[in-house]
Amino acid sequence: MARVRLKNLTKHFGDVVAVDNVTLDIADREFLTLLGPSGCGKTTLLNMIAGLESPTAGEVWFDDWNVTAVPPERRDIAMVFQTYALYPHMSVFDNVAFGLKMRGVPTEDRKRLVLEAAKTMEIELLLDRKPRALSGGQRQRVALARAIVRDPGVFLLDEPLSNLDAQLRVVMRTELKRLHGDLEMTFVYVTHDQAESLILSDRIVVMKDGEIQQIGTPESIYDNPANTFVAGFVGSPPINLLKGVLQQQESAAGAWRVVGDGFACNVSQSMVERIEDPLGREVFLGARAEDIGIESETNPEPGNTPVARASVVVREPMGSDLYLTVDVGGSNVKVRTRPDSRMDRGDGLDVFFDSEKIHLFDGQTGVSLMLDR
Amino acid sequence: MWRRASLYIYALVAVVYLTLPFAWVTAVSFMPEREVTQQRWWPEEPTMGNYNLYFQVDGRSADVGAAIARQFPRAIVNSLIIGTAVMLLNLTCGSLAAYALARLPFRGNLLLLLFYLGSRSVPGVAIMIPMYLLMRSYGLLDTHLSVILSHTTFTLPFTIWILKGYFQTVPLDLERAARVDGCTPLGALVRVFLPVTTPGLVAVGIFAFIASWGEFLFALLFTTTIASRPVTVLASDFAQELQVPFTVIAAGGVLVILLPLVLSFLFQRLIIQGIGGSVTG
Repeated sequence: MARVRLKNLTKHFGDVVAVDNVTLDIADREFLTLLGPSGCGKTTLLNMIAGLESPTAGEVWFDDWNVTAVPPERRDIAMVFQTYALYPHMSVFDNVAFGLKMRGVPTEDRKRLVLEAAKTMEIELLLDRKPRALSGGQRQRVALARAIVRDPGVFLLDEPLSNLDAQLRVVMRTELKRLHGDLEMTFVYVTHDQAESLILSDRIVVMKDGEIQQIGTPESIYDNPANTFVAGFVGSPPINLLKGVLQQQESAAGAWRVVGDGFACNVSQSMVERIEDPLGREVFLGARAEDIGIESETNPEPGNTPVARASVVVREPMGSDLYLTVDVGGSNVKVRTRPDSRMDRGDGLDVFFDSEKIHLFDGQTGVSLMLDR
Repeated sequence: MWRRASLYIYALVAVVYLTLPFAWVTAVSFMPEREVTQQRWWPEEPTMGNYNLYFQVDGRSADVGAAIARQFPRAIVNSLIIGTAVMLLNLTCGSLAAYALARLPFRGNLLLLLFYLGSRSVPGVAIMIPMYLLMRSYGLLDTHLSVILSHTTFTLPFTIWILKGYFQTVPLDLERAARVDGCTPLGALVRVFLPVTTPGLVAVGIFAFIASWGEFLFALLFTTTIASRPVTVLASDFAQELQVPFTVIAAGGVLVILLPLVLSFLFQRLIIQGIGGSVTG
């Protein structure tokens, strides 16, 4: 069990800044996910926690122990790699037992612990096999068994599910969440899959270009993205972003709207109050597919006027939902609607935005205008 | 269909071309002397007589070439000592150098690699005399060590190149996993990396051994007595003595080929895997 603290951690590879001044406090037994596109520095950050990469500047602390200069073999960690990295010349049993052997655990205890871990991961019947005789899912289970057998303080996972096929990934995802619940270890999990991060994490750290974009619970990141990057990266399909300008209507008691190409969207007074210099400000209007209604299929509140008149470009049935890509003033907007909708390519429709759930971002920097200042 | 057939024909021609000389030498080595002069392909009255000469079984010391033949066992031992030492030097120096070149980024590593390659393209004859003077000034002439060192100079660059390429196919995560599991860097090398790369190590080891076993020029230059002479050099003595029976020479030839042949057969699977293959995690 360990609390992990990263203090001003920076890593340069030549001229490239892989991780830029990251400060992060990971609570004991937390499931924390580092989320971001490839090359964002999340794996480098994980390697620095593991000790496989030494930071250019900054410190890594496990509880009250500064481990910055401690080599990986002396840190109390276990790691699961994207490629599993099972030792091909050893049997499954020896793979799982290797870490215990290196730490001088007596043979009897070793055997007992390996069998326990094998039972947890349901690989008891595979213990005599060599890794090459295992399927992808089985290898994944062996890799997890090898990591949990040592009962480490910190459990590091580097995209452990990305080499599995889609169905198996869903199964192992559930397995990981169960494991975290059972083991009471600190999990640090690296992924580029936003769905994985939303499902698994207590908290998510969204990264881009070596910098932290936002830290928060899955709900807070999804509901209150800090900038257009986070808004676009978390959530599927990605959030719709429309460029517009904040205006105050002369009629309608000075109500505020965002007006852009082919649309005009009402903005509540409480939202506007949070914005500095609202009049004439360039903004990105963000609306998620599920917060957009079409025509009579949503029940527009009295007085709610359509945001835009649009036409359907693509119809994508997904079974439980139907996604329509509609054209709003030259921009594509993705809308979720009921699967029984008859709307198809070329049909015209009215689009409504849920004015409580829209997001406004600065038109230049992309930073959210909704967060408390 | 025709593609396949022509492939088989090509393979057949290659096999015949490569094995026929060996087969004939082996056949001749079992012939009594008169059968060779009759230009036979196959011994009609096979005899071990030619081999007996080498191992002094019947003490025919008066035979032509017997003096040379009797030194053969000692020369084979010399070749074994030299070949084994060259192999071990190649494996220790080669694996450490290749590991550094494959894994550790350092200034000038490409240059060093090209330098190894370049040193390989210098013909041995060109450095014969400097090498001789070097060996003489260190008092190494007519010792095993002189031959071992000279053989290592031309086998090691090849070893490093092959091993470097092979080592690069080993996933980096394997060593990282070993580190996280509690190994020191050297521990990860010894417990995980080297066992995983065994096919490559066996392949280059045997290549180095066979190259050393078959080398003639430097061995001839540095050795003068049977204390250090390897079998290739001794075999050339037959050419200096007139009228050594061809059957006796053939038996000597078979003795020289035997060991490399057995090694290649025993380890052929590992050699092919080591040269052309890769390691997967």
